[in-house]
Amino acid sequence: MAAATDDAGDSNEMIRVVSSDGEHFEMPEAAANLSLVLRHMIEDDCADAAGIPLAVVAAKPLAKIVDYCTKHAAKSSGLTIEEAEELKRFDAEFIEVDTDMLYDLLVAADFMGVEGLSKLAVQRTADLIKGKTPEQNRETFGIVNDFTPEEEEEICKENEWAFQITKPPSRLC
Amino acid sequence: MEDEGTRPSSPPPAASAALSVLGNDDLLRGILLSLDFPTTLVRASLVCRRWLRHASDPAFLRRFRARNPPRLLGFYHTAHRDEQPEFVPLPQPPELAPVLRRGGFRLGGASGTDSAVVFDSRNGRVLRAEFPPPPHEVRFGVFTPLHPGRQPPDLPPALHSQLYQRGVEVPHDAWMLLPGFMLLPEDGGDDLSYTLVVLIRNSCELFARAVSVRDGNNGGDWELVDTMSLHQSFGQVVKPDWESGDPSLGDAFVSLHRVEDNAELFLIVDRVIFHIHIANKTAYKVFQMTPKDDIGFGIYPFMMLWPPTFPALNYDHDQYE
Repeated sequence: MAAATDDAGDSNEMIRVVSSDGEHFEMPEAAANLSLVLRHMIEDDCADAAGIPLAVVAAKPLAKIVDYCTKHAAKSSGLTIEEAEELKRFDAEFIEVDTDMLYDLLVAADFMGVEGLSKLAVQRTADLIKGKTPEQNRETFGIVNDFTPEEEEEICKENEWAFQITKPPSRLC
Repeated sequence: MEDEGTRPSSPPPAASAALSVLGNDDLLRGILLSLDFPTTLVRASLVCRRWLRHASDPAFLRRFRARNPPRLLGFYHTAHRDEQPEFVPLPQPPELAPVLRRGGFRLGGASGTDSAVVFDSRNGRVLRAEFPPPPHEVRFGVFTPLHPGRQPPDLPPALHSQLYQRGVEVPHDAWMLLPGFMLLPEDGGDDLSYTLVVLIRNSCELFARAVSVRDGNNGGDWELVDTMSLHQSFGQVVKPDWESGDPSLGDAFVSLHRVEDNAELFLIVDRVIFHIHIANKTAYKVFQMTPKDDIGFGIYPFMMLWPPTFPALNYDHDQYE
C-alpha cells in the first residue's frame, strides 16, 4: 500500500506550451493543471508534442507563470506549516517585479485562469495603488485626469477624512 | 504629499500593458476590491471617472464592505461623572491612524450645556441628545467627527419606540436583559433593519445573543444571528466570581453596554470594560474604571465611516461602455 503512493494516479508527463512569440516551455502536468485553460485543453486531448499555443501570452510572462505553477504544483497538498511559509516567501519574492511585468502577469494569469497567481498579482497592484496620490496613480497607469476641478473638489470635500494632510481639499487632488 | 512639479516629462512606461489591464472591468474591480480601506478606495476613485464609476457602484460597495468591514475606531464613555462623554481611540493600522488624528471628536453641545449624552454612532455620525431643564424637551442632534467643519441638521424626535415594538424569543427558563439604546440608520439604505444584542441568563449560564429583524415594515420576524456562551468563550479572561452578580435585580455586576451590527459589544464586568465580538468569539480588555467612575456609566463605540459619499457626476455612459 505504502509503495504505491509514489506515482499513484498522476502521470509524470510534461506539458508543452508555446508563447505568442514562439518560445517553447515545458512543465509537469500537475503544474499545467493549475491553469483552467490548460487543464481543459489537456482534458480535451489537445496537449501534443507541438505544444499548446497561448496566443496572448508572451515568453517573458509565460516563463514566470511556468515557474509559479511548477512551484505550486509541487507543494499543492498536505502542506506542513514550514512548507506553507516557504510558499508564502516564494510568492512574495515572485511578485517583486516591475510594473510592466506585473501588468503582463495580471492579464496572462487572468487569461490562463491561474487563480492563485491572479490573486497575488491583483493584491500586488492594489498595494501599489494604496500608498499613492491620485496624480501618482495616473502617472503609474498612464491615465488622463478627466474630472473637472469642481468634481475633484466635491469628492475631496465629501470624503475629507480620506486625505492625510490638512491643506484645503481642492489642493489635495 | 508629493507635489505635481515632479511629474515626469516622458510618457508613462508600459502604457499599453497598463491600458489592457485597465480596460478589463473585472480585473479593475478586483484590484479596487483589494484596497483594504475606505481611505485608499476614495483616493483611487479620484484617479479618473472610470475608476470612480466602479468604486461607487452599489454592488461593488457591498462586496468591498463584506471583504473589508468598517473598523471600530474608538468609543465614547461617560466614566467621569459630570463631564461630557469622552472619546477613547483604539489602535489602528497606519492607514487609518491619520483619520483619528484629523477627526474632531469632542462632543460639544448646541447650547453649551454639559448634559449632552451619546445615544448612538453609525457610519461616522454620532447621535447626541441634550436634556435641557423642563419644560423643554430632549433635543437630538447629529454630529460628524470625521467632518469637523460640518453641522448636520437636527433629527426629528421619537425614533426610539420602534426598538420596543417586538418581543424576542428567549429560552423558556431564561430571562433577558434588554439594552436601552436607539439606533441611527445603518447607512443611506434600509432604515427598517436592526440588529439587537441581548444578554440572556438562565439559572447557570449567561449568553450574548444577536438577533435581527429585516425589512420590519413587512412584518419580518426576529431571527437569531449569533450566540456566544460567555462562560465558555470568555470566563477565563475575567475573575472567577464574575457571574455572581444578579443583573435582574438592577445590580448590574455584569452588563452589556453597546453593540454594533457585526455583533460587537462592550461588556462591563466589575468596572472592567471588555470589547467582545460574538461572531469571532474574542474578548479583549480595553478599559479599567476607577471605583468612583461607575455611576451613570455609558459607553458608545465610534466606527469607521462607511460608505464614502460619491457625488453623482454627469456620466456619458456611451463613452465608457
